[in-house]
Amino acid sequence: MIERAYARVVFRKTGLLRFLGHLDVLRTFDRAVRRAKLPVEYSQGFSPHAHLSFAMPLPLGVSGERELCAIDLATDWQPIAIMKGLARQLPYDLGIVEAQVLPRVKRSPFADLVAADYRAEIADLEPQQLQDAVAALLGRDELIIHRTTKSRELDLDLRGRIKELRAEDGALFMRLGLTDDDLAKPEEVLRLLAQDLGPLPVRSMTRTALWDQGEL
Amino acid sequence: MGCNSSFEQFLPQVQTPARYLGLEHNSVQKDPQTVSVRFALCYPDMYEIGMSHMGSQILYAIINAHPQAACERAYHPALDAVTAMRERDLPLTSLESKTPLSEFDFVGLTLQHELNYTSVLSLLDLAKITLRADQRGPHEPLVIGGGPCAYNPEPVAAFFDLFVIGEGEEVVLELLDAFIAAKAAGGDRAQVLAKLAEIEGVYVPSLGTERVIQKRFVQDLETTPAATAPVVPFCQIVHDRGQVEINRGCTRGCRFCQAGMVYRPVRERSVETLTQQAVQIVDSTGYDEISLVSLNCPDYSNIITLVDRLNEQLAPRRVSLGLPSLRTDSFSVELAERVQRVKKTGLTFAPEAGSQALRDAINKGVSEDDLMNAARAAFENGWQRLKLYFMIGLPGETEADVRAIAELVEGVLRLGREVLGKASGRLTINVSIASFIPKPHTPFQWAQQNTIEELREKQELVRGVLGRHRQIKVSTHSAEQAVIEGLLARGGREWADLVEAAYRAGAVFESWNDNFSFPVWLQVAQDSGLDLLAEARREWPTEAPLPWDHLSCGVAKSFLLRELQQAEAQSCTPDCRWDACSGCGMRGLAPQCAQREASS
Repeated sequence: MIERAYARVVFRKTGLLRFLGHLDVLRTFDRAVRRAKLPVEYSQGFSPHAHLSFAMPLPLGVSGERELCAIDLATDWQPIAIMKGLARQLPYDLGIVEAQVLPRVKRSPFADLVAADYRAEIADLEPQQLQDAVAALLGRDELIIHRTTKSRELDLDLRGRIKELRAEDGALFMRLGLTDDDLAKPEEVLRLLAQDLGPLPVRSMTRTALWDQGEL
Repeated sequence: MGCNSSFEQFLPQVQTPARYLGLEHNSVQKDPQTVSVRFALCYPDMYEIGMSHMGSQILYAIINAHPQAACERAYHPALDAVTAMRERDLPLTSLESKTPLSEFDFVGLTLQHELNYTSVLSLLDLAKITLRADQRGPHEPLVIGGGPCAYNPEPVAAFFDLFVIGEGEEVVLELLDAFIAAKAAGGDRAQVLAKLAEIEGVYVPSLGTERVIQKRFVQDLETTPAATAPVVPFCQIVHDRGQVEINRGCTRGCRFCQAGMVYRPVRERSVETLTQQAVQIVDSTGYDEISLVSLNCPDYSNIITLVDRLNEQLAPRRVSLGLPSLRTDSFSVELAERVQRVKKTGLTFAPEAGSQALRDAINKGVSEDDLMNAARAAFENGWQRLKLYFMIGLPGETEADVRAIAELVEGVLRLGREVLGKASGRLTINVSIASFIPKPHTPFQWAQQNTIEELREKQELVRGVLGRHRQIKVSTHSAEQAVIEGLLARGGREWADLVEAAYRAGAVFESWNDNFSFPVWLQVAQDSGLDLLAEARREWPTEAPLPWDHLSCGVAKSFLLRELQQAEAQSCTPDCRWDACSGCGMRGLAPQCAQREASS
């Protein structure tokens, strides 16, 4: 019996639903949780909502195969019941992949996430060309990109932030840093490659995994 | 999937792509191969508006419950999506199966608002459906209209193959069955239409206006299906909550109000049924709010019992209850108090007119004492925010009547300060000033509409007085929009060219303030030699025929005329629910009228 439990849910965000904004996903999960009548903690106040949090929301249009959602539970509950309950209430493209029930921690349930994997399908490019460009990129000492954030503009070296990069059958596999001071964005890697190859038409972009410190 | 992939291409380029995805919870995806008739239920405004419309949710459920029919939805895309679609030459498709609307058997459009007429044309055009009904090819959909504006659809009659007059719940099933039968019998477009025209309440404009079409309405609301599993949007919509229709119709008889005339007789659902429906909606949607739908909530017979019963069921499930319209009396405050035990959001009252004489003339049976008592009860119960609805430009209105609006509001402000005392710091009175628009099938259908200048002067008069007070906020509606809405509301068939010209000149989403294109309307009218503003202020003699004389909502023209005379005499007609039958004409059509008569 876990005293203060939460459900750590892995879900996909694929197909047309990759165009759902983060708030829409939140609203959809809140309503799905209510319909499934799961024993969830609700906020206090006049319009209570389920205690839900999501790891690193995806940009609009990017698919996710193993996205993470944490649902605070009012009581310990079977993971299988959570999975089945939610699966009935969510469309396939927002479907539940797996669920665990864990003790709640003080910090954010996603504070330990350090890296994310991405797969980018590139159109109109010979696989060999892509492979060569990746090899050339990895051979460089510095990988400087220009990043504009809300508050400032800066030049950054992505060398240490790109954990893995390889070409597979015309697709690009990337494992990139995720924490604030280690962040690399997939489109930044594509921009680096474009310096060599010219603009890269991306057919699709998918986040395939999120990794905890301990898992790598 | 070729069509789908080009559809997906434009999604990254538009705002809120969630509007165009489909796949919502409770949406119904039937295999087109397994049905005999495909119905595209469309709304000539954006997704956020159309998805909030309860009537569409009801029809969607009813059509999809028919084993041989499939209903899919479409809304007017936002302007950025229109551009993206035109660039790629993409036709407007249904949300469910992404089928071009031109491939459906029926394309249904609900006409909730006259200012949506150009959006109707825009939607048909985006769907690549021929605009004029008489030019449509044999394989094009039958374009069908319904909703309140179908009570005078003449300005857009040229663009529709048929209309349903009145409530759609029963007639839509008759239409589907008649269509399936006519098709099976090998009928062509004209033959199918002729068959459909035999159904009571169906109006086929191409067959002329000699025959009077009697509206359809359900006799018993209790047994009429409700949308208990409505489609749940991903994105936020205007009415993002469950809706429970407690009663239909209103017999208060406000003389400007079209809904109060055309939705007669009054029908109710039982407390048991409504409680059950509310729970079903919560179960099927996960909404955290349920709103009662009614033209007049407090008039529901067992409203206190209903609200208590609903609260009992909903509160433990963290679902709140909302009330839309309130009467201007202290009973309504008591009711609101029961509904909003925690959060005191604003309370709304609609005295409509400032002076007693004018309130009597419009048959708004409310006195200044009623309003002051209601306001006092609200302040005493902790409300600090009131909203007051008024209307200017009413027939017979004088400058003194307009001034009386300001005086009445100042009276409420003084009362608020007095009751709230030290706590009056957060006191706010929002005053909304609408413009009167003469609507068909109302006693004021013959009224002369104010000019834009007159409406503006009256708005300024109220603003001038109330603008002094920090705690009063005045909002007014566009006088230009009111005038165009008034013209379209009473227009005849000859208006089709003008509506089409306005659409072609870029008028779309005309009900949106920031999108309304008054210069376009002036220009296209001028081009066709029509003095729009002169037409807008012309007189309507009561003996002249009206463009909607062939469409009957059950309320007799003679009654409307009598009511107009009563208005001129500033005399009230009591509500027939508590008083004698006022002889509106529904008695012969509605058994409940006769029953009430017998029991009283």
